[in-house]
Amino acid sequence: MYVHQDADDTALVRRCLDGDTGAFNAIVERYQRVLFTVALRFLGDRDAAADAAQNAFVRAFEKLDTFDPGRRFFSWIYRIVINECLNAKRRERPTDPIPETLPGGCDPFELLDAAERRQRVQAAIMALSAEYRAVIVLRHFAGLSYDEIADAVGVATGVVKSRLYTARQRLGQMLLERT
Amino acid sequence: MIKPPGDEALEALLDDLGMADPPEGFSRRVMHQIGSLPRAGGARITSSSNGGFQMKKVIWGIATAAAVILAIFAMRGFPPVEQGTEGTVGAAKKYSAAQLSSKDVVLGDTAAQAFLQSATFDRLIKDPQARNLLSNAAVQAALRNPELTSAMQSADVRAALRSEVVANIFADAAARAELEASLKSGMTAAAKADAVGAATRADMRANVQAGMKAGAVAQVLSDASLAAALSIPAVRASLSEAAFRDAMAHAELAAALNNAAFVAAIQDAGFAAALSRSDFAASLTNR
Repeated sequence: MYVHQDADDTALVRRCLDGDTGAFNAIVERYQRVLFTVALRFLGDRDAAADAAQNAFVRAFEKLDTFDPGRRFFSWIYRIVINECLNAKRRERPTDPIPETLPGGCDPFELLDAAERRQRVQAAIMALSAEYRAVIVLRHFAGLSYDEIADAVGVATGVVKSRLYTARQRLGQMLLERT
Repeated sequence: MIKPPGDEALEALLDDLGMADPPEGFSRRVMHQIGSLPRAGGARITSSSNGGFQMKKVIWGIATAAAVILAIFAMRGFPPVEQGTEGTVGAAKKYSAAQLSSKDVVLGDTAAQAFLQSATFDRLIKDPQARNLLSNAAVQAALRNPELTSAMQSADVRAALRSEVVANIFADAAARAELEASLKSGMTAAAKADAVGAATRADMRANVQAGMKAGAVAQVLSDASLAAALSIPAVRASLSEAAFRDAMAHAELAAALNNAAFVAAIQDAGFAAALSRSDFAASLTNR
């Protein structure tokens, strides 16, 4: 499900920098699904996610010479897509806040059909603040380790652990179980 | 009592949300945008959010607002023109710009972009035979000439391009010159055959090879559709290129000229322009 191919990525980046634009297509093909998923889970909207993912690829291409081969390419590009998502959120017109406690709090596995359950989970993710949402999305949908998330969002590993813990707590509270 | 789901339950809920596929044609769209950039790492600030997927929503919003306004006007009547404003119509005319002429509109890139986003292109790059043909550098170079791609919509022209007899004529400077002279003078096939017959008989013993070449020219000219195809300058220019003839000497490449996906593609106005774009090349190599 996740795409971590450091050596290939570095070789493709080198080819791109040597003028082989076609090599970037391989990067796009490799990362488009996971980057789009990250953007979708972060923004909660397919069109906005497609824009953010597209912008992330274009930014990556433009700034490819600033990529440090000593780092992992996917951490670098995830950082770009998260930044694009944050920019998209800033441009977004304010909407009504999503309530902390979502309606219909029943056992999600038994009483909600699959589509409704997914909507509730996505809504709960959207209700998190951007900093918590980023760590949940990168951890769960991009499969990054704590260190990789720290690299991608630009904070210390300890901060990632703390945010992830809090984010899980909040998600858990929003996806209530009444017993 | 209210309690949050445990870690496992939360993991299961997030797992259930799953991965999502990007919209159809996403990578092509990205590569198209990248194709307009100078090169990887060439820092240039772009307004890449322009023309994005969000734009669809804006357009729909504007369209909806316009429809609502029109509906209100239709029900309540259009607002009357106030006295004193009529004269502004005449005054406003002086600010009206000259109408755009066809010269002001550059269609090449638009047509290429439309082609790259079409089902025809999708079919083309999914077809291994067509892709093989288009991956040949000599074929690509020839097809960048829009006159040739236009002419190739004719099956006769495609037959001429893959004809071994024609290729042999173009491989020999003298035979080619003779063919072109005959086409230029409009010599009929019958007259040419008579002339060639006489020349061949006279020269046969002295120069068997020259006689055979002359015979080949006569053979080509005796075929009206072949002669018509060769009367097109772009066709002759392509056949004059040794690399192109070499490509056509490969049976599989020659056969691909009649490939349905390829024939459909060359009928698209944006095909020749799209060939020069890096995203087209990228699509060919990364399938």
